[in-house]
Amino acid sequence: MSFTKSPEDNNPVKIPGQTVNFIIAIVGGLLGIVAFFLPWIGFSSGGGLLGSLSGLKIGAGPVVALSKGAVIFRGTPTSYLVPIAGMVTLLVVFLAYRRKIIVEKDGFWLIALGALPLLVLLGQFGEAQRDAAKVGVDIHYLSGLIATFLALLLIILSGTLTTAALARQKPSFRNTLGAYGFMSPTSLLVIIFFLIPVVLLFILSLTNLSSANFGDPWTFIGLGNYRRMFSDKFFPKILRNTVFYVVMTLAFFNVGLALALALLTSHINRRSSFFFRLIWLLPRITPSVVYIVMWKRFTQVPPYGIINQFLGWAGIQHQPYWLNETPWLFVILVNGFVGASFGMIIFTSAIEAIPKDFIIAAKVDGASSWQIIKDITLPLLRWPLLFVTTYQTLSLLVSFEYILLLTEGGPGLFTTEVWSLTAYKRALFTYFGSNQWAYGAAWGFVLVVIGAILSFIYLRVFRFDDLVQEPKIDVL
Amino acid sequence: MTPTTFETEQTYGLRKSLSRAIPYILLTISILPIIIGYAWIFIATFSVRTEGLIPKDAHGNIGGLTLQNWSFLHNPEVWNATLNSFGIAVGMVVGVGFLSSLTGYALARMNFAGRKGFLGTTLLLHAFRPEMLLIAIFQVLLFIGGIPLIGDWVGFNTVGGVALVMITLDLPLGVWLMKGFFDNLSWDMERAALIDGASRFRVWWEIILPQIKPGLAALSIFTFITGWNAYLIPFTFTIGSKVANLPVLLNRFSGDTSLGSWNEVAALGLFQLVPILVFFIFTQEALLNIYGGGSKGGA
Repeated sequence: MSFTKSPEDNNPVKIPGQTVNFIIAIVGGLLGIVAFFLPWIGFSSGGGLLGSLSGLKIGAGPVVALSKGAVIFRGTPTSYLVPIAGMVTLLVVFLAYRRKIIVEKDGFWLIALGALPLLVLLGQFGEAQRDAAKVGVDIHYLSGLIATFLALLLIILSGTLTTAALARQKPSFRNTLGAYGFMSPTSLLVIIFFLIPVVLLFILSLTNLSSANFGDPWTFIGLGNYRRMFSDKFFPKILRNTVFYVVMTLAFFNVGLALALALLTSHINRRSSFFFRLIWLLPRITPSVVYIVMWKRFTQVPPYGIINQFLGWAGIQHQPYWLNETPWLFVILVNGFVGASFGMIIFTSAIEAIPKDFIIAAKVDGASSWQIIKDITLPLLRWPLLFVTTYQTLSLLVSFEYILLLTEGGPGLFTTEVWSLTAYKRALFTYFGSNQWAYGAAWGFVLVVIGAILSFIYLRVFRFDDLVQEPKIDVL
Repeated sequence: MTPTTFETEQTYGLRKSLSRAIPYILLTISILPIIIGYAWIFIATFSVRTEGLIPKDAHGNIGGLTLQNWSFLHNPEVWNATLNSFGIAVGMVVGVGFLSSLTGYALARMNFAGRKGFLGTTLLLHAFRPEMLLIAIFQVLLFIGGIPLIGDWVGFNTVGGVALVMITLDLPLGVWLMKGFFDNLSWDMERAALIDGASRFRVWWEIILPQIKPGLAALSIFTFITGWNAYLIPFTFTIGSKVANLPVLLNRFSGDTSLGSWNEVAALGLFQLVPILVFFIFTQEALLNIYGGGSKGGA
């Protein structure tokens, strides 16, 4: 970690109160190490409760469970995290003292060292209470747990004090710290619900976790889920469905119809074009469930279905339940009516940005509307076209909400099931009596990788990095 | 303009007005399904039963207008779901608005270590679609649910947890939009305030935020609609009717209801559409801007 360089960084300052901060850190560090050994010297530790059943459950010290008189010792990953944090804390303090200076890193290190095990520990707390109740294990865990909490809190406190003292002393560091203050809430949420899930999805895909063995230690089975996925009997069908769905929806609606709508609305007067575009926005802002209710009503059997009513008026006798008769047609229509508006809006603003001179010059030369579209508008829409195509490919590939609501992948076996829907259903629906989280994660992770690669490429192609300009207000 | 062909003025005029009319005709045809869908919702809501688009009374004659489909308003479950929906939507407006204007400000106006990295990550996440992460977020929420105190508010199967996940998934978009608004803002006042010794936070709160109210309003409309309409995430992360929001309730209800009495489903659907239609009528210009320029990946 390096911070904004400023002259005074080269003249390290002795911070008042530094010694006190470090004494707090040393006490915390030592306590962290001691907490680990508490179970062996007669005190039961938090870990005893936390890990009571599952080997991978995380505790403060090694697991000590008193089950029917027998004592079970079992080490868990975070049971080692606390003493390690304690030892590293001591190391950080020792190094800072040796250097006779204090740098930004020291404070941050201490905060992170305390915060990480604390977070993990907190997460296991409630679960452990349930576990203990379930097996009726009788453990007095308070002594160990309090020691652990105290240790971690002390380490964090010392880090905070050090950082705060440093910020008072150095203006450049204060600025950096201020910026981190502005960034930290968002960063924390993004880490918890974006970055950790990406990593977790991959780890999950290597295990055999399902609701049948939930609560047991995770068993890693290597690439078994991926092998199972590729050898699935329905894999070719799902792959075909996915390609068909993406290509057809893109070609006919998200790009094709969007372009047609943009061209048509740009050839009529402003007020009515605004009206038409606004109506086309309706499906996008209609709640998906209500939107699907409308479409289901369209396709119903007589006398309820709207399509069949029109067919009746036209004298056509063939009036089936259209959603079962032509499921793909409706899957594509339903998604297409939502998807078309995005391209339409992008294309419209691109068409409006074309200099009027081009069009007038062509008209003076006697070009027809079609010639103007073909030879002037379309070539100038090359980039928006590419943009909408790549962007919508990505979103069609990954989104499945409307299909889930409309057909749930049916009718019948895998008729309209696409890749993303398979991943979702395997993981979060009950299949053969259990949610196969790990297997679903394997399906999902493939899409995450594809999505990450595509979005990276498309940021490069559309030169989004150019947008990353320098800030206007620097240090004053 | 003079005709360039040898047609008579009259036929030329006719042909021209015909070719003028073609776009209107095509566009009108294209919006028919949308109009019909909405028409059905309105007709069905206020009639005993419908056959196609025709309202019928109990004897099968045309007519039979009624308000009895709105009896669900006496059902406390519906109001509970409405409250949940509203909670998610308002939580998103406040959460996304507050957090992304904080972060957007730092990215637009401050120079700090790792700024490039933060911006790159924001952009990448902005292009990325998070649906597949739901599988892993499920485990994360279960984990958070086990934490004492916090878990009761934002864990699995809580409205807070759903709102928090939805806020986070919308943050990259919000941050990116907000950064754009800040970039376009003149910074003279801000600079003057900083020189006078105001803290960054005070500058942000008292000087910057009032200047970007229109941008914040646009973002708020977008996030409110997203939160109000949310189906997939509430459906995935909640069990039972206590924490269900309106879309989840409506979907369960439509699955349980026989085809003949879908008029009640339509009424509940219209009930859910009310805020959306209000936005649609009163903020048209803003809506088109948000979903075009401001939408995910908008260039």
